[in-house]
Parts: sequence; structure tokens; C-alpha cells
Amino acid sequence: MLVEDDSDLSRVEEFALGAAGYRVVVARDGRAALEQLARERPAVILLDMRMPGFNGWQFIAAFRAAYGREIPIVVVTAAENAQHRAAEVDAEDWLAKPFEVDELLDVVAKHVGRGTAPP
Amino acid sequence: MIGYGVAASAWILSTDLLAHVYVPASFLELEVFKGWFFVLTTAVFLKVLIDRHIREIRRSERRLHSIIDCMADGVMLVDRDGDTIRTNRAAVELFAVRDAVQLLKPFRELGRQFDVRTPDGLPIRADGHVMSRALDGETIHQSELVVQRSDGTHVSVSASVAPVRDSAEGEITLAVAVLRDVTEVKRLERLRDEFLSMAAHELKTPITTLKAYVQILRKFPDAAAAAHAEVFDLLNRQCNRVARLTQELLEVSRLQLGSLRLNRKTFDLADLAGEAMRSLVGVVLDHHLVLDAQVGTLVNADPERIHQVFLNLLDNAVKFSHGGGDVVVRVRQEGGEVVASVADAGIGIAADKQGLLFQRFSQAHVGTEHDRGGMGLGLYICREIVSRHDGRIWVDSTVGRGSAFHFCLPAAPLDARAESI
Repeated sequence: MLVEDDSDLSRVEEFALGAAGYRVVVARDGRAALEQLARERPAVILLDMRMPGFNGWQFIAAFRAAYGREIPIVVVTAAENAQHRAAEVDAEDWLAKPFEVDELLDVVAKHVGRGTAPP
Repeated sequence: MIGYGVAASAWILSTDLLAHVYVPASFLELEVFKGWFFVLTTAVFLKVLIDRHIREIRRSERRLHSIIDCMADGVMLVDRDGDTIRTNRAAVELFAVRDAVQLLKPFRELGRQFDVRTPDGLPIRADGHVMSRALDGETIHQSELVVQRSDGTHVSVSASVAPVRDSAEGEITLAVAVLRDVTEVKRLERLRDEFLSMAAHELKTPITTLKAYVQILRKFPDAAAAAHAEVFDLLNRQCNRVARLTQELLEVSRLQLGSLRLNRKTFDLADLAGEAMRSLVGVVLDHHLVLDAQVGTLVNADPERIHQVFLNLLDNAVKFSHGGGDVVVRVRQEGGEVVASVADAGIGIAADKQGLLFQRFSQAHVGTEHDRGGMGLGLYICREIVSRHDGRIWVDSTVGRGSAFHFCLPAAPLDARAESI
């Protein structure tokens, strides 16, 4: 699942992941993402940190409260130190902007099937 | 003085000669009288001379004191023992003390009293103190210090200190320090640095999108070919976004230098509004853009710049009213002006933030949950553009109900005809 408010960026991520064989669901903000999660659990969550309204931080807090570590979260961030950002919010992994498409595919591949939920 | 001496001697000799010739009987009395007269005259003469000189000296001194006292920067004079012997009004204001007397202390004591530190927050070392170094003969230019005043506020000070010698190779008798308040300068520098890093941050997202698409074109050529129209539009949009961001950067520095040139044309403002709105179709997915315009709203302005103003206002309207809704653009003639408004039904702007809206780097929603990133320059640039056209820009807004941004431009003369833009 992509949690991303920038429609062009989410489209490109969706495109790349789709072409690589994944099924992709997009949520425009944290709240929509939580609603979507109630309906269906993805294998990985790609989370944009810089969203208006219900932002990345708030989403993670709500997610952990409801789902613990069932699904790995990868934070997508333009922050200077992406790794640091991931550690700050206790995410499983990170993707620094601007990223290579290969980096995107690799990080998703790494975590698909890694969550604690049953496959 | 010499002239006096010569004249006096001549007078004495000539009168002596005459007296000797014409009144030899009372020569002695005459001489006594002459002597007395001469002494009195000389004394008066000397007094007048001395008084004048003293007045000149006093006037010089007073002028020097006034000069030092009136200087816009703070001045502190320190003697060999480190005592502050002279200061001025600007220094008193800088340190926010009651009067100059409060500063006439050893400079080390002042350093402690005002917790003088380097900009990094480190205390000043005794031997590294600018005053000590100046007393040792060094001239220091613009050393930055931070001073804490008695009310707790901090002031950034730039200190230039030099030794004072009474002659070219003479001994150093004093050190003179000129202190300039650079707090505002430092604040602007910090803002600029923040702005630059925000700009870099902002650019990362469109660059990410562009880069990813370009790589997709190579990696998944078939899938990309199938969706090529969409891909093209997207790449184009992102390039425009990067271009706009860098343009904003350029605009700000150009506006600073006052070298923004306007290419004026006569055109219909409503047409331009329509164009700006059309360019956003496909980007604005959740909002309904409505144009409500009168006929014949001609202005003489730089269409590219005003287009920019519209884009900025429309962009803001969309950004701050997520959840969709209408964005209404109105253009009408009012008196000798054409007034355009962009209204949204979004989150609105708090009254206490409205005054700051059009200033550089200000963002009404920074740090709140509505923070959209961005560089806080859009409205500043809009205001600069509008005022260069002799127009005005203003806002009506209510939190929770929405905002309407208005700007007006002088109407084109009645006989004007629209040029193609």
C-alpha cells in the first residue's frame, strides 16, 4: 500500500511496482490508509512522511496501536538523513528521495512476506 | 602675537622719542603711565586670545563628544588598565542599561555581567578577548559576539576594535571599540539559510518523480509505451514544477535587487484568469474551478507575471481546501481598477496570521497540521508583482470557512485594445 498525497509521485510508484508484478493500493493520507487497512492488509506499507492533515507520524502511532508490527512500514522521505528518520519513527526501513526505481523495487521485495501476519 | 610685539615696541619707542622731545619735564610720569597702560593692554589682549583659544578647544571637545555620542554604532573606550572610560548613547541602548555610567566598568566585568559569548555559545577566553588584543596592538574587524541584556534578551553584536596611539609609533594609551547591533542581519541570514534548505527539500519530490519515470521508461518500456500519453503529461507537469520552484528562487533574489522588469501588454484579465485555470486541469482533480467574469476587463500589465500571480493563488486555494469543493475566480471592473479574486471554501487563515501573509518566508500554516511544505514565497512574490504594477493585494479569510484573495490592477485606458498574449 502506498500512502502518498502527491498524485504524480504515487502514480510513478504504482506504475513501477505494477510493472514489477505487485498489486498496488494507494491511500491519499493517513486516515484513508487506516480505513483501507481495515478492509485489506497489504504486505508492505510505503509511507510518505510529509503529508498534510493526518501526517506520517500520526499514522505510524495509530498503526502501531492497532496492528503492532504485522506489516512492515517503509518511510519515504526527502529528509537529509533518511535512516535517522526511520529510526526516529521506528519504521522497518526507509527510502530516500530521490530514489532509483531499483531501490524502490528492492526495498519492497525485501519486506514482502516479512510481516508477522499470516501470508 | 609677533605683530602685537612689533607694534607695541614701535609704539613704546616712538612715544618715548616724542615725549623726550616735546615734554621732557614729565618724562618719568609719562613712562610710568605708559608702562601701566602697556601691561593692561597686553593683559587684556592675552586674555582675549587665551579665552578664544579655550573656547575653540572646548568647542572642538564638545563636537568630538557629540560625534561620539551621536554615532549610530556603540562606542567604548578602554584604558590600559581595562577600565571603560568613555561610552556613548548607542552603546547604552545596545546594552539596554539606564545610562552611560552603568558601562564605565572594567571590560572584563562587563563581559561577565552581560554573559558575552561567541555566536556558538562559548564563553570568551581571557586572552582572546578583543579588548585585550587591541590593547596589545591588534586591530580586529567585525568580531561577532552575543550579549545577554538584563531583561534576558540576546543581541548579536559585531565588534571592531583598534588600539589608540598618541602618535604614529607612540605607546598604546587606549583601545576603542565600535559595536554594531547585527541581530536583524543574523536573523535574515538564518531565514535565508532556512529558505535555501527548504528549497532543496521541496525540489526533491518532483525530481524523484521525474527520475523514477525516466527509469521506468528504460526498465519497463512496454508498459510505459502503453501509457505514453499519461507519462508524457506527468513528466511535463513535474518539469514545470521544478521550473516554478527554481523560478521562485530566482524571483526572490531578483526582487531583492529591484531588477524585475515588466513586459507590459494590454490584455483582458478575465482571459488570463481563464488560461491559468485551464492549465491546472488534470492537476486539480478534486476541485471545481469556476470563472465568474465581466466583459471588458482590460489591463496594461505583464501577462506572464500576472499569470504567475493567478497560478499562485489558485495553487494555494487548492492546497488549503483538501476534500475538493469550488474555487471561484472573479474578475470585474470597479472604478478605474480591475479587481480579481480567488476564493476557496477551505481551512481559512487565522486573523493573527493574516497580517504576515504577504511577507517573505511566512507561512500561515507552518508547524500546524495543515503544513504543506513549500517555501512561503508565493504570496510575497505575488505582492511584489502586484505592487510593481501599482496594484494592491489583500485577503479576506475566516478559519474553517475559507479564504478569498483579491488583487487589483489599474484598468487600461478606455480606448485600449487587447493585444494577443
